[in-house]
Amino acid sequence: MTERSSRYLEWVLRLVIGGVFIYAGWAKRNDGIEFADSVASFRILPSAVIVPFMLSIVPFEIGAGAMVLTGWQKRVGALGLFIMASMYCIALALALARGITVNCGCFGTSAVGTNPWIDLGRDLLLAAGCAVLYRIASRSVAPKPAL
Amino acid sequence: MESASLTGQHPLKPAPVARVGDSGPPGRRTFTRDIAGVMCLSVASLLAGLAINYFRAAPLPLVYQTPEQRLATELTTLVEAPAFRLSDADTIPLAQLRSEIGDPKTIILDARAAPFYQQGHIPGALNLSRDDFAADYRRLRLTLDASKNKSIVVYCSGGDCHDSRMVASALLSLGFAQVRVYTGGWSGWTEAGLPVEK
Repeated sequence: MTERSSRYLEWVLRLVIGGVFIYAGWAKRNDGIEFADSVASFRILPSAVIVPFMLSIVPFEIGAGAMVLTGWQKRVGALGLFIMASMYCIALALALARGITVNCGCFGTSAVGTNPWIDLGRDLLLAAGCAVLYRIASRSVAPKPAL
Repeated sequence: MESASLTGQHPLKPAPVARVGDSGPPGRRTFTRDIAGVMCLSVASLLAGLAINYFRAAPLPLVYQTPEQRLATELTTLVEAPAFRLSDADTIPLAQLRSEIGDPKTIILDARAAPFYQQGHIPGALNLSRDDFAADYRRLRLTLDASKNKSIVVYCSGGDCHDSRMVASALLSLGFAQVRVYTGGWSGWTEAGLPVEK
């Protein structure tokens, strides 16, 4: 991949991933206990951790999305979103494997009735996009080899 | 001098100072620093989330409760400290209660504790005790929800007993429209020598 095409790809990924996660965080900003119910429905986290985890998701998504979008600490943002998207994928895959009916709540609890397989596919795409973005961003700061 | 010119480094420029996490190859160093950055972002997000929750109009409890647990807590609170909405006009005398016994449009609820209910109750009455309101309400929920438009009569022991008023007020808060209290209670019913169901 040429340097120019790599730069274009990075821009596209930053716009899409940053935009998606800022939107996802913003859509969940007013979700209260319904979002906690959604997190609990995965039956992964103990009840003592569910509310603190759920409270931190919105600032994390908006913060990391803004990092990716603005370019300030974009590698940290991309890596954070990669970890988060991967976590969602694992949680959804486990729920599907165990036959548990879950409401992803990814874009707010009002967006109900989504297909978990579609949610999983979307999160896999996002995780892959974050990984590619992190790779490109890391390469652009890597020191050039000495002569 | 020769090696300095080869690497492009100024001969007088001091060598870079090693920092924490700089011990491995460049790629790993970058990754370690980024992971540390993600951890800082996570902690900052948690603190921000807790602060936002603290300033909410109705902050969430930090320990999660299932919907069932929340309903039980809400119902217990509702019946232990009900907003009394009943007036004297919402009470009925014994004669009127007798006329409504067996009427499919009326539901009679016994607000006494289960052991007293089991010893004997007004025929056809269901047990919705004040003592165990949350559990009883959940047990009778289907029946009660299907009877929102029916007339409900609540009674307890009679005399100074307030359980029937507390249960009736809780039911009004839960959206039941036609709730009345038979103030004579169980004692009034038995003293009149009326039939008893066990």
